[in-house]
Amino acid sequence: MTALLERRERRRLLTLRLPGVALIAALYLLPMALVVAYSFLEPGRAGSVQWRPTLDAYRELLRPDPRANLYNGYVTLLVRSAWWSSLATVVTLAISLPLATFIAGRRSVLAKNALLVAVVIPFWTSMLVRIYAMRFLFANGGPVNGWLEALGMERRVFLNTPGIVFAGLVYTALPFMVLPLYAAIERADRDVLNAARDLGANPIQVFFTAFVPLVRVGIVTGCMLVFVLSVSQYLVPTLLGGGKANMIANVIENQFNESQNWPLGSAISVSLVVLSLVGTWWSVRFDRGLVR
Amino acid sequence: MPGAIDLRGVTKRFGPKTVVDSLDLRVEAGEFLSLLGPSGCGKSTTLRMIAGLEQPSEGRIWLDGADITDQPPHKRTVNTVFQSYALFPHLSVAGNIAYALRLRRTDRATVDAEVRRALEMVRMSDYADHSPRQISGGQQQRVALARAIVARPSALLLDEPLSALDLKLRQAMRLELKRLHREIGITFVFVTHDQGEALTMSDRVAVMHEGRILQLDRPEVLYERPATRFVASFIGDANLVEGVVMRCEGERVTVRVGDSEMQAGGASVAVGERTVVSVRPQRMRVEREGTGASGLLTEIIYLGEATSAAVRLEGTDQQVTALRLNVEGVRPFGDARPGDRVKISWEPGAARVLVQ
Repeated sequence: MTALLERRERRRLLTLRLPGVALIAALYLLPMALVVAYSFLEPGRAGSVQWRPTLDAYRELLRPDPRANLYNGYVTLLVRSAWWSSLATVVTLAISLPLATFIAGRRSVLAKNALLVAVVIPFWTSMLVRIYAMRFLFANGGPVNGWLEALGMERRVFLNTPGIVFAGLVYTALPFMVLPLYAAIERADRDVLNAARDLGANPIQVFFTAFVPLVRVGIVTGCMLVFVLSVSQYLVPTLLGGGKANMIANVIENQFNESQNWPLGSAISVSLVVLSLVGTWWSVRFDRGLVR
Repeated sequence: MPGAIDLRGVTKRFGPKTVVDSLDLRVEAGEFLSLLGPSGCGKSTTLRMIAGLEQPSEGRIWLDGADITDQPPHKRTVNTVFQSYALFPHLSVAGNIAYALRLRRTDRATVDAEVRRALEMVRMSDYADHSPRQISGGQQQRVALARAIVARPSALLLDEPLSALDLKLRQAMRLELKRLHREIGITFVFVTHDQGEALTMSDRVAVMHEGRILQLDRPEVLYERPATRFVASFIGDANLVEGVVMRCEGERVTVRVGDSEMQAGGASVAVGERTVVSVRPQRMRVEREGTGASGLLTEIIYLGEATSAAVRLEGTDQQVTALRLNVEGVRPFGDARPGDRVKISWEPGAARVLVQ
């Protein structure tokens, strides 16, 4: 009787899950499988692929190009994307921790919500618009250079440099770090921090032995989101880097459009997915390490 | 013995609100002192100021003759047991207890020995490797206690530590705390809103109301000779009988209650003034014949270990209650029945004239 009920219940749950599963299958798994398949095929003449299996794309991806420099070696680009993204994650975390702590520490609910909205509002604006806003701000004749001049400093070229791309990464990632951190800090029991102080921990010890473990979930979630988001950034390096500070997504785009080498583009995509997975895996490991 | 705490003129304001109002309090070394009062009376804030978690707006706090007002909490040799226990969720039971010792870079062997000793003291030795999430509220309570005493503070501050436990456990923990206090002999400052807890465990109790200490004394004195109406009604049950002062001879006051004159102890009050006399129910006499104020016996209620009688005083709407322990074969209020006219009275020593 109960077994029958259980089976019926399970079938009902399965039916409920079906649309979601179908959606993920159709929109994520299937294209992903296609990309993986393409990466093992030969390129067609004008884009597309020829269904002949080969490892050429991966050979090309890993080939040590004698002319390869910072701007066109695929592996170099992959490594740089990972490096910039890791750095952007750390910097975003360093900016977001005090910010989220500040917001969570407000006594008035009104102030809290106002600050949160201020963090979230960029979500409501198109990323394209925001990045163009940055372009405008940092343009050679833009406001930032105007302020520099007013302060008696020299004008600087910001656009199309790695620095501005990096700043763009941090800027776009900030809300994705602040929100999970805020949620974790808000949930944390303030008296646990007080207990640490009470038991003899100085402020630095309170931070590392009580605060960080308490908001661990927020830190790990935020870092995971920001890393994965940054490593696949396309708009930021395109619009702020102007092709002079490319990241891996730019090359993928290039292979699919200009160069029309779909298998190579697919192979780089696969390597990017692997990189993201490694980042996620590392976050989880870091998380476990904190639990101890 | 260390652990004497002195609060001198300590005031705490949050914005426009004064939570603790120029408080003077001396806690003797090794004493078990309770701060008792309803929520919002400033007792927890007082405790947090001693711990250093709140900074007084005015006044100074002294510990063993040293002014610690400006010391951050981690430099103070007092430890706190928090109401929510506030255990570190990422550390095991043993890890929680070892926390303070590890901060001091105590060597491993000593840490292990001290942790084991503390675990034994709170009878949690079998749970050293458990996570705080895996143990019950009462057990978390014990761990919080062990964590606070392992660093050998000169005073232990307890912020309503029993309020989250169920009744049975709460009563068991009272004895447990008392035993612990005896064993380690340091000062305990215990914050509670539960008069039963305060009376059963403390050497002295400070009754707080609206940021001030109304009365500070041994439990039996608070109970027998409450100074104010608030103390009388907050600690135990009390009949607050209204009357008019007829005579006043030193500590002995004669008060007119209903159609009778009765004696009560208390400070000197002005003759002719309206006043309130506090009489504990178990010391209120109810008789069919005799002297005293006339009243109507409205109800007799059986309470298990005791029986209570409710009497309405004649000519007023005042209701008083009397309480008698049930003894085999004895009718608690003689042959009085609801609806009877009775006399109420008390021994002169059983009543106190209260300051309003």
